[in-house]
Amino acid sequence: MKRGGKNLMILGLGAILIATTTTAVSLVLYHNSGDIYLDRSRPGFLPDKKEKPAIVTEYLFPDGGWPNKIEREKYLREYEKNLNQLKTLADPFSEKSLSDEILDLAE
Amino acid sequence: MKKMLWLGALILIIGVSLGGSVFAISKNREKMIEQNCSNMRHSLKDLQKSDVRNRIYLGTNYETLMKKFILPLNLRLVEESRPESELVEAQAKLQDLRVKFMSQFTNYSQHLEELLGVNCQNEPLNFDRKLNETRKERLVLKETVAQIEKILEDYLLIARKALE
Repeated sequence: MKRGGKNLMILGLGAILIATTTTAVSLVLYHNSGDIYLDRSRPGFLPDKKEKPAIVTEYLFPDGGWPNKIEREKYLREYEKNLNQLKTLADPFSEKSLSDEILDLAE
Repeated sequence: MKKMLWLGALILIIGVSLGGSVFAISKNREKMIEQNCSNMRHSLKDLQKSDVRNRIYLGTNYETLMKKFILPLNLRLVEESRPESELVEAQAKLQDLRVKFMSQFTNYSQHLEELLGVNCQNEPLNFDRKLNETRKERLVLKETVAQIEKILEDYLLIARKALE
């Protein structure tokens, strides 16, 4: 093999090695950081159309000084509204979903 | 010396038999796991997806409440020299719980993924052990969610008084 050809092969192998290493490192980081469990672009995890969207509130806390009575009432009203919306999620992470009954393991 | 060896052997036998019984399951349950393996995997995969949805829904809404309501009010109270220690305390607790929630979710998800990785048809015992571990992690997560909700409710009550 000519010297140029040999160098080209070393360069190619080096590039493959670097690419494999960096890909492996990023996959480990992606997994260990827990980002993988939040990544909804994973196959099978794409958002559904019927899915309940997270609360998007337009509320902005009033600028400057102590808020007046109307602003204070609005704050409390909006806070409560958001809190109630949060509660509409029925029993998140309930133990029932992993129970023997649900998994058909009840004897 | 001989006595010591006998004692060692006895301890070993007791240890092994106790250890074995901890993970032992009934033959009936073992059979059920093997038989329902495919259905269970299907249910667990669905659960995994709905958990991710819930995590994102809750996480986003906690963030909204924190950034748009709790932080601005607490800051304004300080600026206006009306600090409310209970509100500041609630904010700190909430911050800690949100961090906990995120790490517990990751932990739980790892357990669920490991559970899904177990071949329940060939390893029913291992599957059952992993299932119990995953249940424990899920319970921990559920408790944190309940704690966060309680603090958010308490915050509203205290804020009501502070804004009277």
